[in-house]
Amino acid sequence: MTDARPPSGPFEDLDGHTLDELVDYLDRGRTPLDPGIEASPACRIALAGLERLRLMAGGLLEEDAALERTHPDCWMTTVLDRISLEARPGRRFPVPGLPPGTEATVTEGALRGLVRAVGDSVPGLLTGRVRIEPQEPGDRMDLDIEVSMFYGFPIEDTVAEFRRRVVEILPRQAPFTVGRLDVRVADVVELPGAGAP
Amino acid sequence: MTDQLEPAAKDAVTVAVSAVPGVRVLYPLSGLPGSAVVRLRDHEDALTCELRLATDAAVPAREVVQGAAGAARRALGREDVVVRLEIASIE
Repeated sequence: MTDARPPSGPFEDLDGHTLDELVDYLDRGRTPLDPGIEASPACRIALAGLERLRLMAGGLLEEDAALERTHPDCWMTTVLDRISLEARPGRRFPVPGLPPGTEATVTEGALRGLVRAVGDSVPGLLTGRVRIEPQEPGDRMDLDIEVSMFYGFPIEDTVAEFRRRVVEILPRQAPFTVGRLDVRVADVVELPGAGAP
Repeated sequence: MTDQLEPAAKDAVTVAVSAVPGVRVLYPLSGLPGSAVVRLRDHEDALTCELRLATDAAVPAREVVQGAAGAARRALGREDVVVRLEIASIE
């Protein structure tokens, strides 16, 4: 059996849904419940990212929404594209050391979603691109993460806190140890109406 | 496993695995409409059970996997079931 859904662009298709649909769904408070969206891992990961983005940068989201169509490279467009792109399943990493008869994998999308949630929980930081690179032998993975910082927060301390949380939380869920962890601050963004913390 | 038993067995697995601490959601196994959340394959006396999960970030993945596998086996009443799990989101 083949998937009969029409092909769509790399930033548009989340198990047949678009990011615009998910934004509208959030606007409606996720009611009425959409079983198609709620049954999609990619949609749920993207929804979680959108909810966090709204909490952190709601004003900027509204401001940039007007610019989005005419300035496809604006910061918010990049953030939204990244949420959509990184919610996809990607590779599947086997969980080692399970008893005979039990096999498990964790998707790359699930792990990226977790890293993004960890990053977004650090005040002053919004997670951008997350790259996971398995190393040989396969019990270690290197992480390459881009983040945006909100103006007024101390970059060094904030990034250090992010790194601490990733190293603490990721190994509980990931079938590997964290090797190299590179965090790059790609943008410093000023929130409308926000002062320094 | 006979065809008549299979729907009841799938329901039993769904209920049992959904109640495991750290399991948030049982996802359909494909994006196609009406896709099942539990797949049972009985081939040459080996029964395989496949599931796709959303898990709770506060519970270690290994704990969730072992809990879900045990719950599926108890629900099926067989210890020799091969359980294949995919963690598709961590929330």
